[in-house]
Amino acid sequence: MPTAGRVRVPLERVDPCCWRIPRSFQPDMRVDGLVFADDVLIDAIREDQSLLQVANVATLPGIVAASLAMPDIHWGYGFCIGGVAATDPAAGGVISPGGVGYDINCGVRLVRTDLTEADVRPRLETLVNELFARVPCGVGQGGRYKFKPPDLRRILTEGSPWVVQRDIGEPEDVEATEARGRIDGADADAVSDRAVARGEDQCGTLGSGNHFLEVQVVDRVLYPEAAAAMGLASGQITVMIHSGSRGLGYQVCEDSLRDLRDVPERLGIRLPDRQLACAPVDSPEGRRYLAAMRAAANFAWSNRQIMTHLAREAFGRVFEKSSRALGMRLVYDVAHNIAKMEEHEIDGVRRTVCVHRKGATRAFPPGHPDIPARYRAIGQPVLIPGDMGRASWVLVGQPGSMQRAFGSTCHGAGRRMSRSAAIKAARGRSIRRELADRGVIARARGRTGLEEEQPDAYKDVDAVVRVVDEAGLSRRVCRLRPIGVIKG
Amino acid sequence: MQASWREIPHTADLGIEVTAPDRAALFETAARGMIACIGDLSPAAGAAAETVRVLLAAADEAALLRDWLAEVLFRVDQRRMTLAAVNFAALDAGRLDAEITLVPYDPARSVLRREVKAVTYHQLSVTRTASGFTARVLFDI
Repeated sequence: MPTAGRVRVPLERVDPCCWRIPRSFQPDMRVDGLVFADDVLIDAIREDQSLLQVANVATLPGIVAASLAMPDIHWGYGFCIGGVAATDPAAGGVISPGGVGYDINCGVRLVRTDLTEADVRPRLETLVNELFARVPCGVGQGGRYKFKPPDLRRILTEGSPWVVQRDIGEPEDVEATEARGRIDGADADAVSDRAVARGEDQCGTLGSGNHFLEVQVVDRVLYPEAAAAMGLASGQITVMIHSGSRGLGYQVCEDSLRDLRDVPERLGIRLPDRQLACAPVDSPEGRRYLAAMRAAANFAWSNRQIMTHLAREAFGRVFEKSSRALGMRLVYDVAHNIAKMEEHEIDGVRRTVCVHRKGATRAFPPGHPDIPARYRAIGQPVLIPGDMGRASWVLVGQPGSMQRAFGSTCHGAGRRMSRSAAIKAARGRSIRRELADRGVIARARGRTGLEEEQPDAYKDVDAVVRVVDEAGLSRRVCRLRPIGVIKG
Repeated sequence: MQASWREIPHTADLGIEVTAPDRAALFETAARGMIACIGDLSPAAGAAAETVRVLLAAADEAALLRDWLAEVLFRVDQRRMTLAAVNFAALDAGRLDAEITLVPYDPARSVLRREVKAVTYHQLSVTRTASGFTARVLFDI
């Protein structure tokens, strides 16, 4: 039987794109682990400790069906990155801040334009420089927008619609945002003063690490009807933004883990990793975390909304036209670090469960009532950032996501190289020049940003999305090739 | 034995392993190691220093170290300051009482690498060795 690296996690083949970690692997596992991957990706996955983390998550109280992992799974802290777990509050199900992550509602949005590569190429360097100047990024960079405490409270409770009402965006942006940019049940009072202090000048900032803003070209269309519904066609320019809830969200997670860290012992919950600290969804600690997490999620949608506005301004200035005249419409915005109460069918019974998506994207199928009317016939758009040298993807949710993965799919390429290994591999090279040779103009604020995030540090995103397509979780719509990148 | 730290690899994030002859050196070196992961932060010329007292209690030594680093990180991230000096008035396996002096850093004179989002609990450890202490901490990047 194949095993996982040094931890020897057993894997049984379910089908060409799915593997099972049997419940018998560890006595505390309440359900099986299921990993979506093909033969090539599973070999890479075995290299780190992520499979053990899938098994660890399977020990959480109230977990239903299986502890799931997407093909972009890699070693995280507590949960693996690329993990999905649903817990049933009616059966003592827990909420775990580690199942959401520090960067609450880290997510991706995509803006389409009427421009083509031929329109942009001659002015690409100017455009990238303009974006780099306008969109704050990197360590310690405050935003162009400062919100006073009463306004910040409104962002926390009302999300991106409140920002759009302040003329920072187009009214249609709200409709094209997951949860319409505002998740119910957020409580600004559940967010600590420290979290507010960390986030007060960060709404509208990119951050660092794997966050980015990219100018891309649609280079291949696989599902023309869906692409047309999104206003996308071959050769067209798009803008992708990847960021989350910044310091505010990190501090909410930090505060909650401290709040919850004694709860498992008090309730007799045995955990294989402290980072999995959790509390029943229906407990004071669980409710407090959910209220704060939702507020941080609303902050993240507002953050991406403001950066969309800044990107539109940059395009407007460079191309001397309004962003409306340039056709800069938001295609969609998805969260990939979040927990949501959703209704799913489990063993033939409809149940409301708490779905943790940690590095996984919601991918509701055609006809689902929670997706915008204009996408209901094709399924929810799913945005998958890859790496800055090769590609990113647009997918749509498929019925298999509901049957197999609580309406979820992958979230990115998944790292294959540690940050230190990436820096070492970049010694004596100029990643910026290598990207330029591939036609990509990149700007980064941090000294090691481009080295750590170089294309080779990631798995091949084309292989990842092929698996979720073949597994029936989501369908490939179009591939986006980067031509301009800004990073923290 | 001199206190030292080194980076330890992690697929998506970054960790440090710290060795020190005593607990105070372990805690101070871990804080300096964490800040070095963010960047080489040069104090701003003529900027006023700020001294704050940090009081912490935790059920075990590893949790205490993590809480201490989270406390320092908050100030570095939110106040854009770096650590100038640490003075432990009391430090045992479950309690910390320290005065830390922070100074604003000058981004133009600093080498900024990456944001450290948080200090995680994953594979967190503090162990006593024949020559002192060793700790491992992973950061979310």
